[in-house]
Amino acid sequence: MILDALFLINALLAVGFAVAMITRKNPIYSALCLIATFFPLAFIFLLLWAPFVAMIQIMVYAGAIMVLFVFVIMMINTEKQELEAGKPKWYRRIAGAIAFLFVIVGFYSIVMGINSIAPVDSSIKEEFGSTAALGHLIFDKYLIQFELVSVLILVAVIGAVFLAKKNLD
Amino acid sequence: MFFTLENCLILSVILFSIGCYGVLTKRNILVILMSIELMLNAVNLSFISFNYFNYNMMNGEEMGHFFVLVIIAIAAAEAAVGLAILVALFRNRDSADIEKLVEMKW
Repeated sequence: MILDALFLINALLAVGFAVAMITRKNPIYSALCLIATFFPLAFIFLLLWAPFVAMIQIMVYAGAIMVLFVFVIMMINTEKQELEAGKPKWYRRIAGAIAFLFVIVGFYSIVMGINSIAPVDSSIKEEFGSTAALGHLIFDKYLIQFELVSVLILVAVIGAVFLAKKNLD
Repeated sequence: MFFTLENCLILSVILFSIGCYGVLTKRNILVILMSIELMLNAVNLSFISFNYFNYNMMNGEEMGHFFVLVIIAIAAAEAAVGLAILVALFRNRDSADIEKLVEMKW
């Protein structure tokens, strides 16, 4: 019961902030609404027995990535009056139709195709989703994938520094 | 019972569609990048909920959690490169408006 209520509240908060993010004119408000979207999502991750991922969500997404966004917004100082003068109306309508189609197809396949049974909470191992369990998984079973991700991050860092340099010759 | 796999996935679909709408309609490149982050988050939610609700089938392994960690790392890389491109673009064009990048328009 309490789980249902917590899930419902956080789901509504997440959707509300996401809609707010899309409808703001000023990009700084969009960034703040996106940060506010991440917190209810992290709470839902906690309900789904993923405490480590929830903390990573808050620290990396709401902490690091969004700080990067806010810095760039402050730095490039877009004039908001020229933006959001609006695309033509038919364009907006087609985009809305595509997004709505996503929702319909998603609902249909979810309602038609799912039969899974949630585990009883007492049957779950206590260390499920904990830092220790995930550490074993990453450094024993998926070590190569983990190292590949670190190479990817290195490439991205070098690329970002190169792209943002002053004179790009 | 409200806290079920269906409802988690429906929340994920709704967030993904909101992000998709933002990518398609927004003109500011920054807001488009933020919408992409929202879509990635919706996918993360579906991974986590599949992992939890199919606990018995997965033998209690946290494979979905590992996928989510990889997605978060890739999202960070994507945001860094995308924002660097945006800064370089802004330096050359003085604008973050995607409607002004029309060189390749037919």
